[in-house]
Formats: sequence, structure tokens, C-alpha cells
Amino acid sequence: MSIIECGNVGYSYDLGVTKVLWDISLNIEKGDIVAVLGHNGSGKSTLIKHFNALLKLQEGRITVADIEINNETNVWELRRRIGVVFQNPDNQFVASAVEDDVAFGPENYQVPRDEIGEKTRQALSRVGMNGYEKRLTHTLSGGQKQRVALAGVLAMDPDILVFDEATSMLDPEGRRELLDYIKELNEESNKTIVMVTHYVEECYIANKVMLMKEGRLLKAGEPRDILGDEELLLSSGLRPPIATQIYLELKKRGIELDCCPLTEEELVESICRLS
Amino acid sequence: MMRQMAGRYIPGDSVLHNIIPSAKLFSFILIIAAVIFTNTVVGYGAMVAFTVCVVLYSNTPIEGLIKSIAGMLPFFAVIFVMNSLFYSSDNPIWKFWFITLSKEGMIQGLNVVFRIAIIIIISGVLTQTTSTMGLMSGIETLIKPLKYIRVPVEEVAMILSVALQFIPTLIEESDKIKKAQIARGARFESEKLSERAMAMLPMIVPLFLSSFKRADELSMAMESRGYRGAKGRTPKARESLDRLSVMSIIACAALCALEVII
Repeated sequence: MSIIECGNVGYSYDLGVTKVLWDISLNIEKGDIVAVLGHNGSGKSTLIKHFNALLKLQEGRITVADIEINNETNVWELRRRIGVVFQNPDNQFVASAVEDDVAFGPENYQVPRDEIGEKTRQALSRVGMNGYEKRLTHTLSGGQKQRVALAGVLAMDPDILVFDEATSMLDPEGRRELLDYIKELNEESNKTIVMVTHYVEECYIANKVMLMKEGRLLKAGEPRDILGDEELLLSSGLRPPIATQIYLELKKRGIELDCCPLTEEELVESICRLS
Repeated sequence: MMRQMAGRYIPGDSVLHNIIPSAKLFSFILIIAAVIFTNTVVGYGAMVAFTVCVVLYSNTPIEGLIKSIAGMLPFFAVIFVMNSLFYSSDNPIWKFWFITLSKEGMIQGLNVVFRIAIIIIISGVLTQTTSTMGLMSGIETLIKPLKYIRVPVEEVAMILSVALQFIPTLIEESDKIKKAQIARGARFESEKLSERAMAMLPMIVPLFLSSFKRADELSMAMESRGYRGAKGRTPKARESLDRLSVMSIIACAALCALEVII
């Protein structure tokens, strides 16, 4: 069952003079982890801002969690079903204390005061931030900040989680941590994940990659099919992850590995299987 | 800037720390009123005794308070001199053109200096025993009655909360911009005031621009999390007025009444 359906979506910031989205049609199934991959300015953030009606639909149609998006849509209800974590952790906090910030979402949906504490604690322990309730947000590291932002979204218990380049301001360790939690949320709570990114290395957690270029959906498919296609990636201003590059180089020199690796671990394993 | 400010919050468990913020703020307002009404020797005595009690009950380090008063000395001197020289009096000690030195003027000068010093000490104690968040929630409670004259109290509280959250971010950012401008030859250390003022401009403009960008992103994040105005939200938990807080208000009200009567 498709949880997000787009048909022929187009968008322009300046009344049709320059279009940033062209005729985009895609389906995202429930329980998927979808990576929307693209170079800066490929329109990927513009696309996902349509999913929770931050941008007004200009062309085409979108259905998210059985809610048709149009002028009469109750966006407030829609935004309870789809939560977004943004790029800059510092620009999405509304309160100085961690627990007050996580409580912001439930407060907006008029959850009774005596249930909010419990929801906040649960959401924070879901991302491994239990015990940080009283801390001030500006004293946390970048990775911790993004996990608190994720907890703030989880406290509303949405079906779909969207990450709008949520890892791009983090150090490698913070990025890895956040990705691990994203994968865990998908596996254990069956959340549908949409992650917008320009890091090809992050696509290994996805089961579907959508490659965008200049406002068009270039190709959608399995991560190995898309990341293994060097020409396709290069034409959209990206490079395969280092493990895949090595695999392709080996292939050119006549050494065929049994599968196309996306991470260093997979590469090492398949090289070991070689002998 | 923020980091060097005197009267920074020091966590603790003194009597004053435990008064709930709204009651503490209300008491503070009563004390200011009392200070303004003070005009007899007995009144001054009572005020000094009260201030000493407050400082003792708050466990604030005395050196810090003395330092903040000492820092104000030049300001006090100016106030005193202005008052003693320009107070219009019928029996001046010495008169020259428009300058009249008089006993009444000197007393008036001492009066003003005394009041300012008391207010500085009391407000220092207030900010040292109350966290910024506590102060905000106190302000929020105290402005609640303004709802009846159609002030959007919830919105104001939301704005205060967001503004507070952005202070450390903006300080960090201004620091970064300053360093970037220094690296490109800006002179913040110049002796000349005019040059220093000019050097501020290339710092303020980028800071403004980035603040707008941040505000834009924040509003998007808030909308994504279901915000539609401060009205339709779960109401804040009420902090109950405990005995200690009631006592603090009564004590300050009594002091205020005393200063009005005598």
C-alpha cells in the first residue's frame, strides 16, 4: 500500500518563470526507507516540503497517508501523521530545555498535561537521550541536538518521518548515530522514512533510492542499481560511495565481486569471499 | 557579553532559590516601590536591614555584590555631584552663575545614590537566585491578567521562550562573524570610538541577515510540528503558591506599607 503518492507534481517559486520541479510522479510504500538523492538545487527539498503542505501544491496531485493534499486539506491533521526533521539543529528548537522542546509538538495537539511528561520521556529514550530532560539544548553536541529534534517529532507519533538533510551539519560519528536510530525506528516501529540527502554514502540504509536532477526524477530503484551506475551518478553531479568505486575499478580490471557493495564492511566481506 | 554579566544565575538551594519565580518577581516589584517611598532615617534603616536579610538568605557571594557596587562608583559620583550642584535651593552654601551648591542638594544626591544601590543589590540577588527560564515563567504568570485588556499573553510568552532559546546561538554567531571580519582586516580594537563604531556595521548586517534566515527556518519547523498559534495548545502547568512564597510577598508588602506610612 502506498503511503505517499505523487502524480505529475510541478512547482515554481516565481509564478512559472523558472520551474524547480517538473512532472514528478512517485510512490512510497508503507515501511519503506526511501533516500531522495540529488545534488544541491536538484529540487529534493522543494519536493518533500509538499508532503506536509509547507508549500502549496501548484501542479499535479499528492496523497499522504490517505489524505489528499489540496486547498481544503486539514494541514494540522496531516502534520500529525508526517514529522519532519530539518537540516540545522539550532533553527528548530523552540525552548531552551530539552523536555520543554520535545513537549512542543504534543502541546500543539492539546495532549493533556499529565500525559505529556510520559510521552516526552518515551520519545527521548527512543533516541537514547533519556536523562537529558533538564539539559539546555545549546549545551548539546550536534548529533545530540538532532536526536532531540527527532524525539520532538516522535513525541507526536507520526507514521512517516522525513529527514531534510538532517545529517549534513553533523560530524561523521553523529551522522552514523542518527542513521542507526533512523534504521532502528523503521525496523522496530515500522515508520516509513523519507530522507533527503546529497551524501551517497547514506543510501546504504535505504531500500529505495530516488535520484533527482534539475527538478526531475531521474531514476528510482534499488540502492545497488543506482549507486552502481557510475555514469548515471556522474551525470547528476554525484559519485558512487568509495566502496562501490573500488568495486567498479576492480571490475574494470577483470576482478568480479559477487555483489555490488555500498559500505566498506560489505566490500571487505565480498573481497574475503573471493578467495 | 552574556558570560561576563554580573548577577548570573548560580544554582543553589537557599530560601530565596526556593521561592517560586512569579512570587519572587512580584516581591521584587514591591521592594522597588518600597525603595521609591523611602524618605526618612527610620525608613532607610529598615531598608538596609531588609536588604542585609535578603542577601543573607540568598547565600549569594558578598564579594560579587561589592564588586558590582564598586563598578558603579563613578556613576554614583556623577549622580551625587550633579544633584548637589544643580539642586535649586533657597539657602545655597555657594553660588556661581547657574551652579548652586546646597545642603539639600547633597542630601538629595545621597538619596538617589542610596536607592540605586539598593535596587542594584536586590536585582543582583534576584538574577543570581532565579534561572532565566524561571524568570520567563514568572513574567508569563505576572502578565496573565493583561489578557483581559486583549494582550495576546500566550503569544508573548511563546516569543519570550523562542527569543531566550536563540540568545546563545546568536552570541556564538556574532563571535564567528567578528572573527571572520577581523581575519579580513576589520579593526575592533581601535582606540578611536568612531572607528570602532564603523567596525560594528559589517558585523551587524550579516547577523541581521542570518537571523532572518533562522527565523524563517524556525517558523517552518514550528508549523511542521503542528503549531497554529499559541491559543490551541495544552495550557501550561500551574505552579502552586506555597507558604514560603506567600510569606515573601507578605514581608515585602509589609515593608512597602511601612515605607509609605513613615
